[in-house]
Amino acid sequence: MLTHYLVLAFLLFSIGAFGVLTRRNAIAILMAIELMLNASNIALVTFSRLHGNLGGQLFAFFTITITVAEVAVGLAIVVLIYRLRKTVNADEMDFLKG
Amino acid sequence: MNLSLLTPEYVVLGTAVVLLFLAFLTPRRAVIFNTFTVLGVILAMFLEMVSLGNTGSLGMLQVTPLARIFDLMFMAATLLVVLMAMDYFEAREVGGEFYFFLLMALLAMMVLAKSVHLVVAFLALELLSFSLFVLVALLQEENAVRAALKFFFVGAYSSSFFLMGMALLLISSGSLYLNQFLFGHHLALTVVGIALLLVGFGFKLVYVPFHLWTPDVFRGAPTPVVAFIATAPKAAGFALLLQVLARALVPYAAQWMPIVVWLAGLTMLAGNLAALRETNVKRILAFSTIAHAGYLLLAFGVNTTGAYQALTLYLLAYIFMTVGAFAGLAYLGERTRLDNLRGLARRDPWLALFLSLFFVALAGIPPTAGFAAKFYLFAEVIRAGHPALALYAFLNGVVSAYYYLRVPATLYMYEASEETVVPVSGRRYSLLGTVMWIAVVLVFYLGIYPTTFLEVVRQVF
Amino acid sequence: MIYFFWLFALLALIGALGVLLETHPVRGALYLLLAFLSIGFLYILAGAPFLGFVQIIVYAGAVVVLFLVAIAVMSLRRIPDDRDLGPRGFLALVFAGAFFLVMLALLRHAPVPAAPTPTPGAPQPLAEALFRQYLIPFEIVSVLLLVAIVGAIVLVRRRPGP
Repeated sequence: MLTHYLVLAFLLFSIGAFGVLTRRNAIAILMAIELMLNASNIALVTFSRLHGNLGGQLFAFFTITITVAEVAVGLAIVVLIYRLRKTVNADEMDFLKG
Repeated sequence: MNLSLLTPEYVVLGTAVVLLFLAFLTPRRAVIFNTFTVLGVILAMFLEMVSLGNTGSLGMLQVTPLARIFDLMFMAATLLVVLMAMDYFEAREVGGEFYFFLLMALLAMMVLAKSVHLVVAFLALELLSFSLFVLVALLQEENAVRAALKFFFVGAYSSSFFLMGMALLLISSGSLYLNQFLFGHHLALTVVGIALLLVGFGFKLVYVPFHLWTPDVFRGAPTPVVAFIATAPKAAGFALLLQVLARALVPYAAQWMPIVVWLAGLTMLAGNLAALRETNVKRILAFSTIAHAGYLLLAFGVNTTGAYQALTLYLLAYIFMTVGAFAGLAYLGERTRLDNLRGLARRDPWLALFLSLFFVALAGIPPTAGFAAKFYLFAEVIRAGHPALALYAFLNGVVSAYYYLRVPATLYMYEASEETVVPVSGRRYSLLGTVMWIAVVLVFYLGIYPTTFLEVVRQVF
Repeated sequence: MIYFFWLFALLALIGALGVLLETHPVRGALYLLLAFLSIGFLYILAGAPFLGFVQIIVYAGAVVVLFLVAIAVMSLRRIPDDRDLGPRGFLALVFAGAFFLVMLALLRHAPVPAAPTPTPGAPQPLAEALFRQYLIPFEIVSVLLLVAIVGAIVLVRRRPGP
């Protein structure tokens, strides 16, 4: 039963990873990153269910806090860019290119 | 739990929080914030030196003399950057919050150097990253903010891989303590977990293929912030890598050493080749930091205690050389193309001399610290039985000498053209001058007497 | 019990794919909300009820609202199709697919022990562990939140300068 959780976690992680690479809208990229972090959270909860150890759930709490902080800072930067350039597309800052 | 072990951290945190109040309460006078920050960091450095021998464990943090030496390195880099920031931000009133985020990044690095548990390491890495993201975008200039967004996305992306890697390690071994997460009963899960960790590390240490964000962030962000990003977080990243690879993963050394050797070799090459084509000095320095990350990784590729001692010396020399070079560039404001430097020696001989000294040091020419650092590191690589690797690194160094020495060449050998930057003289640049003096003195002291620092490090390892 | 898992797992996947393919930001945020809610319920199913409710409150409550506020502030309506499904999109697909297959093989190769032991998901043991063994991470997270809040405020503040 628990392997299903992990399969779901890996699937969501891959969807998120794909989303970050293919979307140019900064907000969509941010949402995709949220998915990836949530996927890791599912894997953490599966661990704590598996080993009966609370560490996984606690770690998941910290991850949730980090994700919220990340969204706050990320959106602040995106809003700042929007105010400066009236566009939110991340295409001209294609971070895969050198 | 002996919480007094962390007094330097409390001092840094206290200074930062008081700064926050100062920033939002008192009117915008940068002098107060700057001097207050400098005093706070100096007090923390003093406390660190006083309690160098005072070690112990705090559950997820382990305070060792080596960690304290790394703390001193971080504080030295932060202090130089704070002094630099004062003059550089003379025009735009930079409130206390700039120094607040600088101190928060310092705090994160100090915790990172002491963490022996992956959760604490991950949180410290995130705290460091957030502070750096904000620092880059703080002045709200367009290309700085765009650089910050790119920096943010690459950072968040690699953090999620880091997190998934930790989840796998947790599943396979049940514990995230650095000395325990290894003995899981699922080799496959452990190996993939570590691979994902290395993806997360790649972003912070900037080895191939995670170096793509560096040039744009270096060109976009203000010079003092770039000087900070290029030095202190890299040292913190290597401090953690030392804990993870050289302490926790020693039994698997045979597996990860070849990978790291390849990583080091590729990173050196990528950094050096890319820098050859550059004409913007800030981007040359950006690629040079990537090349240096390659040299530093050599120590892990060889994995001997001697190599790690040489790594610590190299990091110290690297911090002072790079901060000094950026302090010189800070004089030029944002116009840092090579032809802005053409024939500057006649107009501002002091600045030209200092800049040339730093670039000579970066190139690794004796008697500077750059030479001593490379010398000891390559000696250790040869002693560990990898002469070919040492030769390869040496050749990379020769190639790097070309683009480093181009700067002194343009400073002295060409005629001043209209592109040349007109230096602004007068009191305004007193602090930048002191930063450069401190950096030059240390670069030459380490170059001529490297053994003094090495002795201290040898006792500690 | 098992059906609930499949239901919420499916909803989570629909939400995720929605976020991926939807170009209109508000609809994307709602898909994200769907994904977060279903993940929250999955946690409750996995024996972590407290975490599940925290997930629902924090993510569905705060994060999605934050996205919607940002979208409103930037008054984004329909964005030109920013999905980059050209060659680079294909490369990304290959990378993500390969990553997923590696992880799948990982699971089959290293069978995860099937007998899960019941874990106390109730708040009380969690709080004890949080303030005893995990005290230092708790302190670091509080500093991290401070940096994030001050950072967000300072970044979007109207600067008098140029």
